[in-house]
Amino acid sequence: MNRRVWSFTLLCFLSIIPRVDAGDLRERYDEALGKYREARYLEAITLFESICSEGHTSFELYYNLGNAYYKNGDLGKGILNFERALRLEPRNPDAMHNLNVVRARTRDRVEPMPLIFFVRWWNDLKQSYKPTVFLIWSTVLFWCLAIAVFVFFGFKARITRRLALLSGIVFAVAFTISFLLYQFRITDLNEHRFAVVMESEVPVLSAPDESAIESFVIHEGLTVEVLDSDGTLMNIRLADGKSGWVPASAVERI
Amino acid sequence: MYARACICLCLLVVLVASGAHSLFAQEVQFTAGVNRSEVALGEQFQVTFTLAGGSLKQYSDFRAPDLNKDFLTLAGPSTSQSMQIINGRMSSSISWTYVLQGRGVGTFTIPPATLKYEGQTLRTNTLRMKISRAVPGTGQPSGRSEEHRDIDLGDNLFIRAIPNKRTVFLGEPITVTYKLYSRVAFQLDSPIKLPRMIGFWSEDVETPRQLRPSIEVYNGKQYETYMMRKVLYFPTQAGSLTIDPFEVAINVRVRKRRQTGDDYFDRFFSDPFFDSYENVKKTLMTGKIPVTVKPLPEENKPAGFTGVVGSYEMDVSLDRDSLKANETAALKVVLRGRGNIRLLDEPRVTFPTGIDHYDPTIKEDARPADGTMRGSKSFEYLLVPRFPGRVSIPPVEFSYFDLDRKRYVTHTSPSFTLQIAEGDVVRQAGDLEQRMIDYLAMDVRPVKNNAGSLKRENSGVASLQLVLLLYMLPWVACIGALIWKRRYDKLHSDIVGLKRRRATRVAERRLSRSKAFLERGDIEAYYLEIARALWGYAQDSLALPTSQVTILSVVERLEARGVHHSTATKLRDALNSVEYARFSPTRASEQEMRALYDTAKEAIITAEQALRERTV
Repeated sequence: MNRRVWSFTLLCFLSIIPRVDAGDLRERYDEALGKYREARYLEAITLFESICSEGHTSFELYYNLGNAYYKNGDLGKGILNFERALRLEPRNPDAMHNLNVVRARTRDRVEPMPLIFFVRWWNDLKQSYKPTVFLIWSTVLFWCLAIAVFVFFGFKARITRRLALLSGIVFAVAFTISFLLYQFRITDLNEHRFAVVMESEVPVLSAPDESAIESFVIHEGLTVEVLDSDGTLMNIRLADGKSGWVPASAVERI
Repeated sequence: MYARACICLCLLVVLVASGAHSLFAQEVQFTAGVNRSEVALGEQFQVTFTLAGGSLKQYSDFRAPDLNKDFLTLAGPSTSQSMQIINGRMSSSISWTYVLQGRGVGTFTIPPATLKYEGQTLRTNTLRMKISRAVPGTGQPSGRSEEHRDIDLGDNLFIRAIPNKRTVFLGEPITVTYKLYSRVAFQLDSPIKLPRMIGFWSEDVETPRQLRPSIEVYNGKQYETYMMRKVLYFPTQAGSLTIDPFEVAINVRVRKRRQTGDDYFDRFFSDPFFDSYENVKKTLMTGKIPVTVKPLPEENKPAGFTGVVGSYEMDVSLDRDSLKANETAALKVVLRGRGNIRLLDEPRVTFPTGIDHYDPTIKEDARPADGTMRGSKSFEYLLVPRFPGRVSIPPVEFSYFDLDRKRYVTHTSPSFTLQIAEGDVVRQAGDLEQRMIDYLAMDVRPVKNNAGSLKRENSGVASLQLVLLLYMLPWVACIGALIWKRRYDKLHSDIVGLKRRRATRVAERRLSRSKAFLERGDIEAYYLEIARALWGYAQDSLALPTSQVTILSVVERLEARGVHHSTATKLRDALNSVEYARFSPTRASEQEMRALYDTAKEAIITAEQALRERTV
């Protein structure tokens, strides 16, 4: 019985240690960097993409791939990869700079809608730490909450109980916030809610129907939000609130 | 006096010169290196002197040190140039390589090489080379194969480098096919290593993933041939160059020879049935290919010629001819054709004043075809006119040397005019547009050298079991602690309540025991027991400490609990009478003794009833 409990605990801890891959990856990565330095961007892209296609990701990988695409003149893919890098590290200044450099060379200029201050605060807070940090916060706060509950029910003295109740409420609120931050951050990481336009010119239809009228045109490199998708057509929304339907093949999810 | 001034002046000159030297030494480096610093006698090694950074056109007078004193020069110097463009900044290097062999055992120094660069003399570092006595077998892979490594395969297995031409113009590609000729069974041992090219820009044309044999007759013998690789070499300097040998290691199966000395025995075992084979490792090498690279003719050389060789077409287009000030227009120059497309530089475009322009976005599409590279390269310039008016962009010129017609060709585009209307003032103030224009002037930041975690997708998310465990653990602990706390409290802190609840029972037991004492006639014990019953009850039910048990405090406590005065008096009277009876000198009658018992019992019962009514 006891041994089973221990092995379960051990398993739980082992499952969070990332598996170490062979040095081959690192070698290919360095080779790709070398090709980039020799200005052989196409070969660098091929190597970086081969690492990506095996399911490996890192902020640096997407960042470098974005640079290689940009240098090779592929603005859409460049933006896509900088956006992917920013999905992993939302506040990285280098990636933001490079994204702007590439965006400056695309045709669309979309002024984003201003957000209400608390939405902005929430987003800032959400993006300022790694998800693991939020997980640790929420766990510690949950423990504190458990301690407060124990004190509340375990002791009789009035002042102790009142203190426990008060701190318990504070812990519960803080726990809820940090847990929600964690959940939303994880959702952001996994949901792929945004997409980048890959074709040089895409007409946006007003309805999911081939005969619908064309409401406006978007160009390569524009980042849009995906609201809905039925496989062939995709309902998208621009940062300024305009929305419409485009062929799903014209955009690629971040 | 005069002499001192002279010395001062000299010192100053030296100081300034050395200062200047260290200034540009940050960019230009002239270094020496060896591929291995310790070799056995008879082994070869390479010494390379490299000039890196800066412009290569400004060096002159490279002087290698005297290497033949301590070493034997086997080959060299072979020079190689390389160019790298890192984030838009070009850096180039040139190196001279010697292949040497030691003449004797010991430690030798390789003296510095010198070079003139912009009037300064640069020196490389000195190197130390240790040459040890040759040890048989060192440096060779262990195994049986090493005994037979000098096996002579003759013309049964060799590798050839076949160039399509040996005399070319500067920039004209040479296709070299590396072919393996074989009449024996073999196996490739290690990946093929292409030589480091010296004076060439190389481009792979074909590398078969699997070797496919074809039959070819060469020098009167039939061979199975395998195309190993096809490479395009674009010479980047004129003169007599060599394409270095190409190396490949293979395993060959050869028959093991027996040498017993016994002729008859040998003949018997030379029957194929007894033959044994073994794998022998061998390195095959092509010969060096000498190539003559002719410089391009000087006559009729156009003014804007930048060394492009091949045949190209140019297509220049402007995406719009009228726009508002501060809007963007794109000028696109497309070069399409054959030649070393990767090394094509951006064409020289003269932009009129009043138009901001930015570094072009370069798109390249090139692949090897027909003994050269074919494809296109486009340069897209973003133009932002700042003022209204009419400007014209002068024609773009592009010259190249046509290899087929052996003459220079210049393409000229038409000139373009841009009609610029008054800019939108609101638009100009729009900070998004303005910011984006600022970004147009910037380049991306450099790549990251570290690879990061390279984790599998989603592995950053902690597993569900762990999260559950982390969340459930404190609650399990909390419930456990509560249960323990309850039990502890019951055991330790609730003695008062326990005593209170048990007070009546204890008192009743004592009273009944006292009755037994009375039957037996033990008067002392009878009184003592009654007193114990009364006092014990008062103490336990009112939770009084032993030191405070007096009649007065008992009554006070009872009344403080809200018990009616008469009940309290009853208990007090009972206590008083029992104390009186215990310590009075006169003997009480039998009736009085029994009456005391009844009084005590009644007092306890009424007090108990009163207390219970209060607490419920």
